[in-house]
Amino acid sequence: MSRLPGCLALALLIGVVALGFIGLLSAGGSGAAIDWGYVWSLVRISLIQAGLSTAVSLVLGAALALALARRSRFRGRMLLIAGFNAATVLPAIVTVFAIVALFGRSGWIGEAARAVGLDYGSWVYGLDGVLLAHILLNAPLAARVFLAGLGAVSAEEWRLAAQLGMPPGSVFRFIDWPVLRREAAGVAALMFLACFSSFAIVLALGGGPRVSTLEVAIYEAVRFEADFSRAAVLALVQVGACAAILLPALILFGRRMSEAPPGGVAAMRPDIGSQRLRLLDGAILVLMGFLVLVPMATIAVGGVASLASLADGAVLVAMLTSLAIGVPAGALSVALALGLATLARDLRLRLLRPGLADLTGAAATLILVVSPIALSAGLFVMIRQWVNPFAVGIPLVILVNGLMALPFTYRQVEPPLLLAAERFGRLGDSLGLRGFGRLRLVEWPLLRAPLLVALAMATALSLGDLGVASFFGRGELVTLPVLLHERLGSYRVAEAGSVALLLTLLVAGLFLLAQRVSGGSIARPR
Amino acid sequence: MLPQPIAARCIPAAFVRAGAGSPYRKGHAMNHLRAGAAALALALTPAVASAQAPTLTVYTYSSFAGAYGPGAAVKTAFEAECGCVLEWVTTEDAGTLVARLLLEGPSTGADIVLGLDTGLMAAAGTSGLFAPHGLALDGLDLPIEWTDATFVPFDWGWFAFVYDSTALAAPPQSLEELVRDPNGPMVIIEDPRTSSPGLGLLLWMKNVFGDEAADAWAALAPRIVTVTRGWSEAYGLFLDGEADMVLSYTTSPAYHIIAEDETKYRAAIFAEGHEMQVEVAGIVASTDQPDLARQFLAFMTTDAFQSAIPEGNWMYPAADPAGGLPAVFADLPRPATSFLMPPESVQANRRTWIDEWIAALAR
Repeated sequence: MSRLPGCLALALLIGVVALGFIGLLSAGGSGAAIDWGYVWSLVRISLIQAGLSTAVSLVLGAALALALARRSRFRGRMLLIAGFNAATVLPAIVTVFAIVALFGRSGWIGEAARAVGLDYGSWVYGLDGVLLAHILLNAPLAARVFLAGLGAVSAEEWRLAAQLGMPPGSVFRFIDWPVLRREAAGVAALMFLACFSSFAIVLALGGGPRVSTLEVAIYEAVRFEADFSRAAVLALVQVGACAAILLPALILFGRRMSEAPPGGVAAMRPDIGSQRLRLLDGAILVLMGFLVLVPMATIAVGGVASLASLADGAVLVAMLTSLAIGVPAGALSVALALGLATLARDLRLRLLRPGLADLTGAAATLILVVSPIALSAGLFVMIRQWVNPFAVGIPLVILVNGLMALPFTYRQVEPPLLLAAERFGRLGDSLGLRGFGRLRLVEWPLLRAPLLVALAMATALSLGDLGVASFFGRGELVTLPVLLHERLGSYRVAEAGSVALLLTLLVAGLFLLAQRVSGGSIARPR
Repeated sequence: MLPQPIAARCIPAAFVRAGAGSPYRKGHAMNHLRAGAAALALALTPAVASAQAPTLTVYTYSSFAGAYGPGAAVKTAFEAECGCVLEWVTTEDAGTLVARLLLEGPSTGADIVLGLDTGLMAAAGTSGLFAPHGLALDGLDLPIEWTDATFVPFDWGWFAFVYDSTALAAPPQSLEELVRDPNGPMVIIEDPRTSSPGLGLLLWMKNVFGDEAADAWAALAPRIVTVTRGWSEAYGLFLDGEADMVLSYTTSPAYHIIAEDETKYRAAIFAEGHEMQVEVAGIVASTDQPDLARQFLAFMTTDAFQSAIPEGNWMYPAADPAGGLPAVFADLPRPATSFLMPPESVQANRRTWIDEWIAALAR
């Protein structure tokens, strides 16, 4: 495939971010010295928090993926997966309230404890609460990437494992583990950056300034100090700090080529009969259900109280506005991810420059830690030199949202693209398959399911956007999250809860649709 | 008759507005979606600027002009007397408002900015973006004297700790008691780095404790459940039962009484006095509608505007309506003493005080 789309996507990505930073730096500031001790303390706590969140989410995500891969047929599996998928894109404020509704002082557990006379307390505020929220968002994300990887193991491998009579331990060691290892670096990088730049969650559940984040300082510089160059420097520090960790990690633990032989239709795993594994998988599903799905259930319970408030024209308009931004942004994001992933694959396999391929992936991921408020402010300054920013508001919001979702879409489409080349690349070459025909026969069968899930995810992420739209709109872009905040800001907590429920159902519906259209979950044998 | 330049200016404004969706009409389905969204958004806005009447563009925060805010009532009342179109342009919140205004600089399309408070006036007021209002302002009902030549107040309130009287029988009687009692109530506050009420509490503590503020913060620290990004999270968590008290306003109980018929929420009145929040509006210096802008600020302190404030913004009106305050507001307990930190003082010391706050809570 041509490298042109990838180069264009990369140019767009770098161009937009550079434009934002130039704009912000040119907007001026007070010139007041930056307190580097303070900045360092913020970076340090973010490193600790993000490192812990990532490690725990990675382990739990792998466990969940294995359990779901081994238990490929049970009633409600599809709904369960849609629920886990929806958790990965919950807006920060909804996540906070979901965690508190289960684990908080007056949450479900707290009330139950009080009912039997136990003193429960407010332990959830602090690093624990931040971790719980980040696990809710990230463990299912890791599980999804791992599950896709496990689903792509070829039938020959399973047949061989069955013929050799591999015990469950060996199946894990020789088949599952290499897949987990191969996918871990990419998804870990993604989760680390998401947690590093997490803002509203860290503040609300952190318990005080001891657990804080660099985004606070950026936000403060833009809003309270109107010190834009300071905001730009802080935002650059955030990108720099993350790049300094991400790049060496990717080089050390980066993708290894798999030695997978060409596969056919996926076969049954030989380890599903083990009674002990059956119990373990049950336990994992219960634990993850408790950590992820029960908090989400609190959203449903909280939202039901005020369901009538959804019967309002403004809610319908907000939903359509959300979709009108989310769907194009999602499509854009998937298109950019495909371009970049194709470029990275070409760099890796044809030009034999795996370093550059990893760098391309890192670029697609690093935008996650570009502060949205800094980027929006900077772009706003630049764009208004040429056009009225309000006149191009909607396309801009779509563009920025599409870019912001890129780390997630890239992580979804990159592995299957590479897999397609590893498995069928030489065969395709020898048959002289090129262009669209090659795409249809070689890539599409492996790409279809992840691509649709990526589209659902990017769309859902853009539905949940808040910050970007607020700079470019005249206030007319009332999306569901905006409506949620508006209701919450006007004391209407119960009505805000019903919007949160609608948003969650909409997102789960998107994932369910993507799963159905792509013919069931990826790991299910057909 | 309108002066020619004003009428001429309105045509491109109206054109941009009505045309927002049209460039995307051609093309494929995705573009239709975008156009649809723009059309939907337009349909929501009651009046599109007409080419005849001048437009007064007012920047404000979204909840002021939103479905529950006083914006719609204000627009109707002002348009009835000005022969103009009042256009709300909103941002997420007041902080973004200032940032956007400063980023737009002298070429901003705003005529008025409405919704700044002490913490934000400092950054905005020194920027030279605002023009003096030139109004007499003798009909105000603020607990303090208002002499600012640039900004006109439209509403105000006292910061206060709100509690559930069925759960907390004996709330602290003073800030001193709240801070010093090791067995006192657990509180949720907002972060002064990201939120106006959060900054308000910082100033309140400074006004009450002066140089001892850091010690007071350290004493309170064990009973701070959490520090949220903004008021919404804090108040929501409090209503969910996560703390005994939350930093909000003395007027918050009025919402529960009027909208929910719920009387259990009270604001604790502290003996030392309370820090105020005064919300203001100002004329943007680059406006090409200075007369209309001044007319709006004068209108802002009249009944038609002020009567929309109590149950729209849940604050006290800057000038009491002729018929008096709504009964629920009139019956709310009031502190004897009011503090308002001067904006210059906030501007000069904010960084130092926040550093002090961080250090005290990290002890």
